[in-house]
Amino acid sequence: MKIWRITSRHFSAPPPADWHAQLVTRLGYRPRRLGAWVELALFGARSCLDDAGEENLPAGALLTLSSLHGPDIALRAALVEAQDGPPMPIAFLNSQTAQVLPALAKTLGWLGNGRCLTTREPALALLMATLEAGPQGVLAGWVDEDAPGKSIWLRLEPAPTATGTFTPATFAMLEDPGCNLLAFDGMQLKTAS
Amino acid sequence: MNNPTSILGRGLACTLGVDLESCVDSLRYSLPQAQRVSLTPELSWPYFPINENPATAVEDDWTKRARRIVQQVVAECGSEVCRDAPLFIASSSLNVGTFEEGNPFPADGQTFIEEIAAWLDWRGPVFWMSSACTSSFNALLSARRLLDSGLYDQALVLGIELRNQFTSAGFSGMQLLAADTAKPLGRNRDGLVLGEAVGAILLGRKKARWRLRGGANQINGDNPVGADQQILTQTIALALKDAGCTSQEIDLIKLQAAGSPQNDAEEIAGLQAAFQAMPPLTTLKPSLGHTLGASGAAELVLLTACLEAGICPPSGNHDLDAELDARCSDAMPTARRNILANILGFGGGHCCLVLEDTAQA
Repeated sequence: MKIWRITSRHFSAPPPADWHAQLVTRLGYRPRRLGAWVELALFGARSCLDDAGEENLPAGALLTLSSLHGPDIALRAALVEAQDGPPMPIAFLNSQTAQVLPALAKTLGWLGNGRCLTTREPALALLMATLEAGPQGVLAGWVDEDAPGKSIWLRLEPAPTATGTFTPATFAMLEDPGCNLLAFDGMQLKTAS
Repeated sequence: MNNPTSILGRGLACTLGVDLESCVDSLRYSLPQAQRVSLTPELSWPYFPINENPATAVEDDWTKRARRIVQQVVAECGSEVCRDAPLFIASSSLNVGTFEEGNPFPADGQTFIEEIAAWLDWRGPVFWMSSACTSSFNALLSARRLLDSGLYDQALVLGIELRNQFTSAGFSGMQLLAADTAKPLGRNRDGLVLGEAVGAILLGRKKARWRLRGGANQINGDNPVGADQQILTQTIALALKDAGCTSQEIDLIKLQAAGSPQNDAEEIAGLQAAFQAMPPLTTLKPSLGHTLGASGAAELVLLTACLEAGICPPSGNHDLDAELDARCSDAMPTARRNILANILGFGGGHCCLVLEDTAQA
């Protein structure tokens, strides 16, 4: 069983009402030309990294994002726009799921392996994140804009020498700050304090 | 090396045909001709639709057609496909085409992924990989890692990009589409020609002719819509390291080379920095069009089949850009054991895989 230390977690589910203002304050500028779904991802990812005491995400960390809805709201708007001709470039870009990746890369000062990989079960996406994590771990997110919305992020680093009593856990239990270590025993998520 | 990750089965539907044999066969004679699709009377662009046999194709709605094609392509992978294995769906546009027919949005994006799984009587876990053009390659890398973990012996990667006007309109609005034909590495290249495809690759942990040796993926935050030569050079180095081989061992490079003025130049410059002597080059874009999220799967399926058949995919008859100092091969190289395959572009993605033809070992 490979053991991972949760170095920080951000559970905004739902996000606070002033999440966008918090993001602007933290970044020191208003994000431009990005859709709300991408901005919500930036908010959670930046907060998670801040809590981990990291200004930048290291290049050796995997960045992975899971989203059941993706930029659906932007897509619907762009589809309406496309009934009368090509959508505006910015509207089209904001309708494309993959555009969240370069936005995260820019905001987190990161160049590395990243992708959007979605499953119905969040723990399964977490299993994939641990299997593909780089030497400096992983920043994994679950972001959905549709009400009530969520921006959940975990920063994990390998903890090969860590020990603990691991018990079966659910994904929701990872919100508990007392849960510091996680591992997968086959497909089963297990945690330890 | 223990437990190689090999290609156990393949299937393809694209503008060349709806089975791999007919796709390869059609390339013996000529390149396909793009059709024109229109958004308005004044606005049209070239496009490579899946070439269904008019005698057997049924006129049906987007979803029924998608189901028919997907089932056919997966069936082509053979009887060895295990429905309890993980299924990775790689797609950019997913089911946008059905919304254009006036159908409502489903509960969420994963609903369509699960619908595809139901078409296939799939029982294993289902993933949606969405990283634009690199979706299929990233799905292959994820599938390989899952196989390496020992949790599964097989994984199916299914690249799906099916007809819709929205994607073409979006690319048109960004002025990324060619006026008539794609001209990879061409002097007058003016953009992409999009296409639709469904490509399936069954990966497994046993020996077969084609082995996925390794790969790497890098995201560039500085350019969300194009390739960067330095990042490509880095990605190639990472892919070669992951594959455990050197640049001198690469016998053939499958380019991204979609005919984009900027990206083709960035790709060639990145390759020139990575290789002291450039290996032979090939491109599948004139054969398939740019099939976006399906392109990685569709191009690898077609390329491996062409190599087995000794066919060099044609690259078109356009004039080449002398400044690039690069051209695609007119004939297959004699030695073609290790192949580097690139998929680059939208979403800042740079993804490179290394395949080995063990029949050439």
